[in-house]
Order: sequence, then C-alpha cells, then structure tokens
Amino acid sequence: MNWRRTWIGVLLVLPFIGLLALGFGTDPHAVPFVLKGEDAPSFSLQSLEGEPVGLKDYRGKPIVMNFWASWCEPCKLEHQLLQNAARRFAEEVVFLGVVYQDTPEAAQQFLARHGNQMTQLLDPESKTAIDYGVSGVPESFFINRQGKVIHKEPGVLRPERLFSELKKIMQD
Amino acid sequence: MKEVKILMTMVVVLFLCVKAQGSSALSAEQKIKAESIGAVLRCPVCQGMPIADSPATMAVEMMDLVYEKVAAGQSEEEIINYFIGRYGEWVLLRPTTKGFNLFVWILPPIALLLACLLIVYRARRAKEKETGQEQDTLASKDSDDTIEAIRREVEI
Amino acid sequence: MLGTIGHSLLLLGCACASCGIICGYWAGFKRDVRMFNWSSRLIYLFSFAMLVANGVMVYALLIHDFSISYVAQVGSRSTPTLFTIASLWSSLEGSILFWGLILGGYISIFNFSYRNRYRAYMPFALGTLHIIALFFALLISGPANPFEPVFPVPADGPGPNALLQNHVLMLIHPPTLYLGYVGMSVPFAIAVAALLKGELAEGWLKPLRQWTLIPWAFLTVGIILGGWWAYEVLGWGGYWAWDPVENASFLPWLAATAYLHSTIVQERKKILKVWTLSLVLSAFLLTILGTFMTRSGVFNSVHSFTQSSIGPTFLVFLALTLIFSVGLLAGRSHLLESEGRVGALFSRESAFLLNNLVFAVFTFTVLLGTVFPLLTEAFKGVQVSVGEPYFNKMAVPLGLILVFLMGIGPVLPWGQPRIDALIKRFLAPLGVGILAVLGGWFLGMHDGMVLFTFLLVGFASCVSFIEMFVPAFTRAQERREDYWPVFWRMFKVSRRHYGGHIVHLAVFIMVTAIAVSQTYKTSVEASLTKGESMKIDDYVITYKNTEGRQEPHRFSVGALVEVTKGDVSIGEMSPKLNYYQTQREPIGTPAVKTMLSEDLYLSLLSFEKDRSRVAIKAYVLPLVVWIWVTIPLFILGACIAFWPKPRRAQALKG
Repeated sequence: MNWRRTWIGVLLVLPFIGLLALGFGTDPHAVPFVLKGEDAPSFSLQSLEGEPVGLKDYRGKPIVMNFWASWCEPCKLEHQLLQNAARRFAEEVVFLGVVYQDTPEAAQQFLARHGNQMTQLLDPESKTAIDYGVSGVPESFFINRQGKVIHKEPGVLRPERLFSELKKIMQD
Repeated sequence: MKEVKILMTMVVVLFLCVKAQGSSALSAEQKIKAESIGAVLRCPVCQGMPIADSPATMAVEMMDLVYEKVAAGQSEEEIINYFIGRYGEWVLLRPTTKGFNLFVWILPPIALLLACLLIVYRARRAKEKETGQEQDTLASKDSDDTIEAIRREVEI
Repeated sequence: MLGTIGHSLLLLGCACASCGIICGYWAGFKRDVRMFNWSSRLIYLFSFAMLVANGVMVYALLIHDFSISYVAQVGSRSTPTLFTIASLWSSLEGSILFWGLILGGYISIFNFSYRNRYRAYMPFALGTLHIIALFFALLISGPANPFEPVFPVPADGPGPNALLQNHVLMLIHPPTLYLGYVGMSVPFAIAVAALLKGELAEGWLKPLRQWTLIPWAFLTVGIILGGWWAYEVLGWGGYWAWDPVENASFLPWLAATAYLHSTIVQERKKILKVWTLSLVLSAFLLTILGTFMTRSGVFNSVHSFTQSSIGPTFLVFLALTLIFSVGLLAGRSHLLESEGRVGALFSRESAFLLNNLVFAVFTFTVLLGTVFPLLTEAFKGVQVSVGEPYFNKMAVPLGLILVFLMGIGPVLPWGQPRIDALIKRFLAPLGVGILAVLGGWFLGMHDGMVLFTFLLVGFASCVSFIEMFVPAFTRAQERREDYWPVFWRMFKVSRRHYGGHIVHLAVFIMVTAIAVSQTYKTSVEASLTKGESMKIDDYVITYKNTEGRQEPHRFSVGALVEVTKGDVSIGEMSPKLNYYQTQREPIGTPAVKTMLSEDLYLSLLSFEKDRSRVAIKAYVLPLVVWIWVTIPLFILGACIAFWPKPRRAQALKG
C-alpha cells in the first residue's frame, strides 16, 4: 500500500464531498428573489368588483400583496391570518389579494365562504405574477412606503413572519 | 348527467382565447424567434423544463408574454433580460458565458483537447521506444492480407 | 404484527451483513476457508431476509394493512391490484426496501456462480458486497423504515404517486433501472477485490466483464424505458430533458460503457489496467451519487422523491465509498503496472483510447452541468440553472465523435496500420455514408447537422455490417464451404464481437431517430370549438366532444377528436387529462398515433367545462418509434455478448 498516494487521492476528492454537503443547506425548490430592494413593478388590474386598480393608487402606503387561488390548499391555511391582519391594520397598510390562475367565479365563491377584508384583483394572463417573479401560490410580497419590495414570502405565511415584515414596511 | 356534474365541480383553469391569439398574430420568423427564446427560459412551476415545452399554465402564459414582446418588436436580449430581472439568472436554462459561468462552458472542451493531446503523446512515445529498440511489430512486416487472415482466425 | 415481522427481518439483514463483512475480509487476509464459508452463508441469509421482508410488504399492501407506515403512505383501497404491487417502489422507503431485494438477488447469484472458483478473490468481493448490503439494510431498518407502526390506524390511504399510476411503463421502468443501479455493486466488489489482492489476473477479468455487462444492459433498457414513459405521460412531445435524475442514470451508464470498451484493449494489449478498474469504481460511485440526487433533495427535479432525512446518511455513505475507492486505487495502482504497450496514432488501440477519453469527458461534462448550480451557489451565492440547451450543445458533438469512432475504430488494425490498405477499407463505408446523405437530402432533410449525422451513421453501420458478415464470406470462399455454417462457427467463437456490433447498430438507429425527431418536429397549438379543425402537416384534427369518466383511482377527461390525413381517415384519438385526489395539477395522457415514419402526438392542454372548447397541442415527431425499437436490439446484443462460450471454443482460444 502506497499511503502517500492514498492521502493525495483522498484530499483531492474531499472538495467534491464538501460541495454536496453544502447542497443540503439550500432549498432546491426556491426560486431566487431578485426584486429585493427594487421598485415594485407597477400594474393596473381590475378588481373582482370590476373597478380598475393600479399600484399608483396606493403611493406612499405600505402594501402587502398576496398571490393566491381557490384551488390552492395551503392558501386556505393563511387566509384567516391575512384577513385578521387586514382588519387590524386597515388604516396603515394596504392588503391586496391577487387571484392567480383561477376563474373569477371560483375566487368569488371561495371568498364568500371564507370571508374577505382585502381588495381582490384579477390577473387573467398572469402578467403581474410574472412581473413579480411568482413561482407558485401562495406567495406574498411586502412593499414599503417608498414603493420598494422588501420581502418575498414563498409559501404559507406564519404569524410571526407576517408581523415582523409588516413592522418593517410600516417603519420606513 | 352525473358525469357533467363531476365535470362542473372540477377545478380547471382555462385560458383558451388568450392562448390561441398568443402566437397566431406573429409571422413565421417571429414565431421561430419566440420559440428559440422560450427554449432557454426555465418554467418556474415545473422545475427544469423550458417554457416552450412545458404544458403547465404558468409556462404557457410566460410563453404568451414572449410572443407579445416579440410582436412588439423587442429583441431577444431585451426579452431575456426582462425575465432575468424577475426570476434572476436562475431562469436561464443555458448559463451565460460571463464570469464564473465561463467554467461550465470551457472546461469540457479543454478536457477534450487534453484527451487528444494525451493520445498523440502516447502514440509518439510508443513510436520512439519502438525505433529506439529497432523492433518491428508483426503488423508492419507482414502483408495486410496475412494479417487479415490471422485476424479472422484468431480474434474477430 | 406484520410490521414487527418485517422490521425484525430488516434487523436480521443488518446482522448478517455486519458479520459477513468481518468473515469476508478475515477470510481474504488470513486465507481462512471456514470464515469464507460463513461469509458465503451470510450472503444467502441476507438475501433470504430481504426476500421475505419484501414479501411481507407486498402482502401488507395487498391486504391494505394501514397499520404499517408505508402502506398508510402509498396504499389505497381504490388502486388497481397491479399498481398496488408496483407501489412497493413508488415511494422512498419502499424503493429502498426493493433495492435490498434486488441486491440480495444479485449477490446470491454472484456467490452461487463462483462458489468453487476464484478462491483468492472471492472473500474480498463478498466482504465488499456485505458492506454495501449493510448500508442499505441500515437505511431501511433505521432512517427509512417502511414498517413503522401507525396509530391510530387509518381506514384508507391516499394511494401511490399519481405519476406512477398513470402508465403501465411505470411498472417496468423503475425495476429495470434498479436492476441496473444495484447490479453495479457486483463489478465494484470485483474491482475492489482485485485492488485489495494487489493483482488482476486474467481469470478475474472475466467475471468483471460479465457482471458489468448485466447491469449495463438493464441500465440501457431502463434509461430508454424512462424516456418512453416521459414521452407517453408528460405530454410535451419529448423523451429526454437532461433533468438531474435522468443525468443520474446516464452518468453510470457512460462510465460502464467506457469500461466495456477499455476492457477489450486491456485484454488484448495488457494496458490500461488501472484506468479500467477506475471506470468500474466510478460506475458504482455514480450510481450512489445518482441515488443520492434522487432521494436527498439537493437537486431540483421533477422525479425527485420528496426531501427526506436520509440525505445525510446517503452523503456519509457516498463520502466513505468515494474516499475508500480513491484511496485504494491510489495506494494500490502501482501493483498493477501495464505489461503491454500502445500502438501508433492510427491504430485500433488509439481509437479505443480516444473512445474512452471521450466517454470520460462526456461523463465529466454531464456531472459538471449537474452540479454546477451547487458550485455557483457555493462560490458566488447566485442561483443558476443548467438545462437542456446547455447539455444539448455539449452532448451533440461528443455523441457525434463517438459515432465517428464507432465507424473508424473497427476499420483500424491493432498495432501499426498500413495507409494504402487502410484507404481501401474506408472506401465502401464512405460510399454508404455518402448515399445516406444523398438519401436524406432527397427526402427533404437539408439540415447540415442531420446530414452530417447521416454521413457518420451510414459509414459506421456499413462498417458494422462488414465486420459481421464479410469475414465469414471470405473464409467460406477460401475454404470452398457454404456460407452459413462458416458464419455460425465464427459466431459461436466470437460472440462478444457480434453482440457488440448489434449494440452498435442499435445505437446508430437511435442516433438517427434522435437527430431527425429533434430537428424536424413540428407543433401547432389551437383552441377548438365543436366541429372546428386544426391542421398540422397533412393531418386535419377535428374536435368532436369531451368525455369525462370516473375510474376507481382517478377522474379522467378526454377530448375526442377525429384525425384525417388527406382523404384517409386515421381514426379517432383522445388525449386525456387525469385528475388524482392527491395531485393538484392534472396529469396528461397524450394520445399518440405511432407510425413507422412519424408519430402524431396530441396533448390536451385544457377544456371548457361545458365541453364547448378544448385547447390541444399537436406535434408531428418523425421516427420516434425507432428509439423504442432499439430496446430488443440492445437486449439481443447484450445477451449474445454475455452468453458463455462453449467449452471447446474456450479451450481453443485460451
């Protein structure tokens, strides 16, 4: 056995193992969040009630934008939380729901059953969703008073996360 | 009738009209351009597939957006940059040829080149050895037909 | 109750394997026959434990015993029986249990085949196999235990992964692939035994060759079946997407194929011993890497099993085997110095050498592309994707070089070539290549890359035909004998030669089919109202109605369309979308009309609930069926090459 060669060989493969081990630290399904700190992409959509709504209507106010769909099971989990927050912060923060890849009827039925305190927007061609880099629902964006996107929450919102992010966008 | 009911209760997402218009307004050239752009953009909901191929609704809509932008006269670079601006470099199925990404492009050709050099080098060395030792192989002495005969006999 | 039995069997497997390691290596280093016999018995006992454990699981699945975690996870009373059995490998824990069964089968047969031979090597090989067995037994008895008790016992389960239930090919594709993956353990053990022993005798090469050929054949067929399944289910008219999991099966295949070629040179010229062994070791390591990729959630892929806790365990095993293999190879390789020497630049050795290096570069490229996102994430903190466009750009030239080598390799003589004779041998194949190009041109294929592929494929297939049929012809003439008896005699003596060329022919058919179907596929999307038609090439597709059907395990919606080509009716087709309870997005069943020259492939994108409209994507894909046609050819070639030589011929040759 030539031990010197053995050690050299082993040392050469260690980086590869390290690399694979590093892979564990990352979520393979995460889509990057590039809008962080950037201006929120503007949009002009129709609300479920048929009124035109644009981002500029809310200039100077912090915004929570929640992409959801009636067919999305996890969306049901965060629905109540969002509604409660929308009620409580109705004065300071704008809560927008964006219906993602769903029919207006299905969305309306869902809201009729589960209650609604937010302005709900329709995004029939998903253009706004693509503009925000959405990669599935639920997904929520937190936008501050200056119109910058501060945070993206892919997946179900937890109360702690919602409140800490709300605090951030309300402060600056 | 029961079957209709089931159909009605199902969750189906439809964007038929949009879809059909998406590509029909384009010339053949524009369509090819749009498809070649769609082939390098990664569908965010299906993981790993280009939007041009994926049947997922999100991919279809992204493809429509590409058609629209092509129809509006945007260049390939502009369109791709738009998507990079939304989804990051992650959205490119073909890494850029800049910076660190250069490695993924140049390492394989370099490896291939080294492989070829190695073979030439080995063959050279073998030849040198041979002439040095004044040793002829069977192959270079005998006629090709004899070798052929032996080959048939022995190896095949 | 069943759970306890199952789990005890897994623990028995662990015990067998751990004792087996000690017995095996003890027997190897101390030359102790008694210990060797024990190690051999433990192999059988391990296999027995795995067999019964799998039997228990299948039984539990069939009687819907939901008190067992795996059954509760993948079982369902509404799933058809056949798919219930197949759900054994539909999910993480079950697939590893199934893995154990296959491993048990392989090592028992291996042990039995060589029970009285290779006494110097076998103990090391058995010890190494016991290590692999121990790892998988530990995995299923601990972190991935499928026999975990469930309380309270649910009344029904969700059923297996919807993708699994969707197509019959899913019944045979995974087992075939596993047979390929798991089988690589045996050549690995053989190679490790050679390294531990410090010598590689001629005799020990034969088992190495044969036992690599078996998993290689399964891997080949498994990969093609995987492509076929993707084609029939995923609905995008493609069969290969360079997905990390596809790459995971392709990587060991590349290494194993390289080995099958390098062993020929090694046998004849007594060179490349170390290289050959390292290819065998890499083939196994790449199967473990592949399994790690599929099951750990490090890599993004449609096929990935859900993320799980077994990732770290797998990584540790991968790290240990990698360190062990590389260390052993580095420390022992000086004992296996080459005895022979290389020939000239244009000799067959060089062609083989180049073939091997190209395979190595190919493996490196696919591996690099697959792990590159991890690299950029680690060094730059940027997420990038490496997908189809990259791999296609890299793989096409490498693949064409390989086809080129398949053509000129057999033409080049061993040792020193004579140029004038060489040119003579190039003429006929070159003619056929040019004919192929002209033929392609007149059939309307003007794409440069496709025509170049035709040239290479025409050349190489002609060479393969010459290699198979002409030598017998020449000899029959020389000896004034009938052709077929001579052919048959030669065939019997050199099966590997014939098997190899049959496999080459299969590759040529496949390369042609891939090149043409990728370049000349056309697609049209349309939204149709009732009675409305869409056109693609010469086909006219008319939408008639939408039908929904409740099946036991799913609800299936099919759009009925009528297809005509010119005035000829092709018949009705019905692309479907299937809705499973467990799956939000529907899974399609595209309707495929297969013809020899092309496939008409219809994919249902969406439909209006009142049946008034459907959106259909239609593809015309030329020559696709020829990819699947190669499966029997690959099997035939591998079987011919594998079939043992008759004793007399062996005596004559050796």
